[in-house]
Amino acid sequence: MNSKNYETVIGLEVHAQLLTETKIFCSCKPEFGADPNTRVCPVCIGLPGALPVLNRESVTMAIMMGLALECDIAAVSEFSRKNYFYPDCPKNYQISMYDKPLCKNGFVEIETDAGPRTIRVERIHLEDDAGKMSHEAGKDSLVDFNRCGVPLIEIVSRPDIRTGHEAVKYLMRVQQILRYLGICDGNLEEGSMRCDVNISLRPAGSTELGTKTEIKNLNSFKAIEKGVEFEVERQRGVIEEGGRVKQVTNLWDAGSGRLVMMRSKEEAHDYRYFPEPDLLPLEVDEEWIAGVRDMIPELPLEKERRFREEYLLSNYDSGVLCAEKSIADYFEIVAESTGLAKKSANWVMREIMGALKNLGCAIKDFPVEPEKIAGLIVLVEDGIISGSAGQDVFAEMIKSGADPKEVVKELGLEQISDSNELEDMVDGIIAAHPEEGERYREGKKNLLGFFVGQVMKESRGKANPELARNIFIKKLGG
Amino acid sequence: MLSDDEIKHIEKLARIRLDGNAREKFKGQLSDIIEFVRTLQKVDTTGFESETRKTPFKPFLREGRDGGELERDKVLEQAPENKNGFFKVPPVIDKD
Ligand SMILES: [Zn+2]
Repeated sequence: MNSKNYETVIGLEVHAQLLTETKIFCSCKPEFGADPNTRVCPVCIGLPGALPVLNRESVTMAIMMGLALECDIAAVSEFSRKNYFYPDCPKNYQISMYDKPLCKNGFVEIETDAGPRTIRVERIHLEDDAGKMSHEAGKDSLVDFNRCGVPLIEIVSRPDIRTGHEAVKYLMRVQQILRYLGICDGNLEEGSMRCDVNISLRPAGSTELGTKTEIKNLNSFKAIEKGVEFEVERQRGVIEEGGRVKQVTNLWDAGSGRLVMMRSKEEAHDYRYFPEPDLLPLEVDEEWIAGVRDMIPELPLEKERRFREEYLLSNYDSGVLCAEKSIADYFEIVAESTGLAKKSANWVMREIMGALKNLGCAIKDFPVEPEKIAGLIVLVEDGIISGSAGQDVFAEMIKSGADPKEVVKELGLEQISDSNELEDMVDGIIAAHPEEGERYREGKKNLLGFFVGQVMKESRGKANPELARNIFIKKLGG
Repeated sequence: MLSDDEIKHIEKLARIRLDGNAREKFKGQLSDIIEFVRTLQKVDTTGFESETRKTPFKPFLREGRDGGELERDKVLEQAPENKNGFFKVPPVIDKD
């Protein structure tokens, strides 16, 4: 079989920690970075006799994601126990959903380098998180149960993804939607969003699925793209050498950029799922769903569409501006107050986003309000200050948070747009450079740049270059 | 009848170890239970919806927060060993 004739089949399982006030089955407060074992109670560490009580907020958030991904919401769903022994799980079982998940049959739309794609979502279900372990080679392992019982939604895609690039695009879209909804902070490094990837290869055109392997521990977009590439090549190698891919779970080791085998199918778990006897089936009525529907804000794709139609922005610009809701909101205030959508978009994408990157801060902590940026854009547009002076004013505004008009006054940056004043300067410059004037009239028209440069120099950058240029053309003649 | 390997697998999953006599005894009992369910499965249930969890009660949901976290010392007391506020367990690399 030719090596080009394989199709890669990828399915993703995304775990997202919900930003609820309490854990899923108890009243403990989830808090990332809290002192170990200080956010636990008899329920979440599985002490005998403790009973779980489902947190309504976690269900609401899960429904929210379900609706955002166009899923069907089950009127009755059911929690099941998934049994396993491991020190991160004090109950010796995880409370998850098995054959009756809360949300089913949704989809995620992504933009790839090869155009738009729709990735189907099989299900979204609720479950409790496990504790966190830290391992040191050769030493005892340490366990922190604070994370036990933090609500998770698991979003399971259909095997519709074909490349590492698409996997990343899918994940970015899921992260973006979680953040728009405000139900998860989507931090891969801290683990509030985690991703397991299932990969198999099959002969192109075949509809059967090959033996799949799983990769865990992918905690950055780069790791996901690389891990997928690595595993695809490994499987291709096995098949081309006439071997058979074994069902294994691999861990991504970011340090070495390699996959490490974690367990093979022979050792795979037999989870013995059964209905959770401590919880009644979850019932969600139409009223609850309608209420959640009202809580859903404008989602990224709708917002991008509106930006294209309302502000006449390009696909690219709308995509960049809508990547984060807070940036999109900021842009809208700037655009509304200037009435100049494209100019405002450029400022937000270049200057504001550049400054955020330099400052390493989020837009909510940015020292300059959007109304003031709008003021600055208008000053430049009206020719009160030059474009380059605008940059100086912007830099000063970031430092002091001051109003742009005050900064212009303070720095004396107001542009000379007074014709009489400029004409005097132009006359002086032409008189001082008779030779250049002669050559200009003989046809060296690009000397105009030289003259405008002179007037900018003499005015210390304050001359309105457009105006000066027109005066030169008029006065030099030729 | 369950095989010896299957019984050993179940022991492993349940984290228990049975001696020879007990293993024989449970092998018989477990096999009987499975046989019983197998018999039940022969009943034609076409047209009936599964009602395994049918109760007249509505599930109770928790709203808001009322605390309830335990003091850490009390928590750590529940296990044989701890270190720096963590539970201490023998080295683990893998879920197994
Ligand atoms: Zn708790």
